[in-house]
This record gives sequence, C-alpha cells and structure tokens, in this order.
Amino acid sequence: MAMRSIARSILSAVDKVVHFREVHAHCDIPCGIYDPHQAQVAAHTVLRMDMLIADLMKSNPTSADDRNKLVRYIAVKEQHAELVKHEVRVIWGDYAKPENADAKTHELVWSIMKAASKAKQDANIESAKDLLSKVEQFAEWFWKTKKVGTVRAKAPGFPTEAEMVFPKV
Amino acid sequence: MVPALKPGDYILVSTWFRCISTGNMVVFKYPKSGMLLVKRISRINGEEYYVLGDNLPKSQDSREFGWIERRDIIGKVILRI
Repeated sequence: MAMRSIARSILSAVDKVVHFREVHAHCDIPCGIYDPHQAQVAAHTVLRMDMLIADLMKSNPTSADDRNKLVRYIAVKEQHAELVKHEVRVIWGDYAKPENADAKTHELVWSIMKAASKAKQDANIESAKDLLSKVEQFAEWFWKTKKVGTVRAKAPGFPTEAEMVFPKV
Repeated sequence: MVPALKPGDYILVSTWFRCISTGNMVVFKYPKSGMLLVKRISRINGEEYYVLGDNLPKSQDSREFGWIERRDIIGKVILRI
C-alpha cells in the first residue's frame, strides 16, 4: 500500500505538469436525481383543466372574457400533458434498466404516451383520469425499484380531489 | 467501475494489443460525444463489443448505448494505480 501511495503521489505531481488524458466511467452526467412527482402534478393539472373547461362550458361562454379563459385552460392542459410525456420519458430513458424494468413497464410507458396525446386531443375528464391513473401506476413502479414503499392518498389541497401515490420516506 | 476503479485512479492503457477478450477493461471513444470511457468487455461479436460497468445498478453502458465498434477502442487497461 505504501508503494502504491508513493506511486500515486509521483503520478499526481507528473499529472499537474503533463496533464494525463482523463477517462470517464459514465457517458452522461450521472446525477441520479429522478422523481415521478412532476409528472404526477402535471397529470393532476390536466385533470383540473378539464374540470374547469367543463364548468365553463355549462354557462355556454360567449363573452371575450370567457373565451379567453377557455383558451388559457386548453393551453395549460396542452403544456402539462406534454410535461407528463417529457418527465416519464426521461425516467424511462435514463433511469430504467433491464434490472428494474420489464415488458409491463414498457407497456405502461407506451400507454402513458398515448393517454397524454388523447388528453390533449379532447377535453374529456375521463381521458384526464385515465392519464392520471397510468402516471400513478408509473410512480408506484418507480418507488418499488427504489425499494421505497408507497401510499395512495388524496393529493392534499388539490381541487382535483383525486388520488396520488406518495413515497413512504 | 467501482470497485475495480475509483474516481481519481490512474490507469496505464496499452494501445498496442493483439487481442481483446471478455473480462478485459478497455478505454474507448463514446461515439455520441467523443468522450473517453472505461468499461469491461462482456461479449464479443466479430468487430463489435458489448461493454458493461462493474457497478451494474448504476453503470451506463452497452445496456443503454448498445454495442461499440472495434475502431472506437483506444486501448486495454494494463495497470491501475
């Protein structure tokens, strides 16, 4: 060990002068920070936007103010459905590996992509609920791979009054 | 590559080598970025090599980026200090 320590000191000194080439054991930034929470919040937002759209449509909106609201609800729904796709895709693409993901996981991710597109295409609360349910299943898979237990509870304070999967930490 | 290699280790890489076998640690150019990476050869199929990191749960390797070409291999690790 002493010889090795001396060799390292010498190499380190030489390195400062000649700058040896550096090699990496990772091809990307191995930040290791993944969490499905953003996808879950985004899925809740899609549902909330569909609820607001449904409420607004009951009054047969004709004023500029109402139409402005409608456009804003649709825009936010669109953005958050896309955010769901992005967040799930990053976890699936960067974090999922053969050791922690199987055919069921891939099928679930694929179905989330489809459900998010459907939630964009229509203004239907059922489509948003379907997306949310799939995203919550994805969160359960994620925490299971981390060996962290989960609990399903109503998202506190969310007007969607829908369930959310929380890690038991 | 923990435990075989730790961050900051020095390695001696031979660019003169006749053959590469499974189990060898190699330095290669990651085609997407040109970054030099070190991994262990797991499988060989003609001129293509499947590389894995030793720290399997955390490693980013051929399981993610696929097989690497023989021409991208710079050399074989022959000494670690």
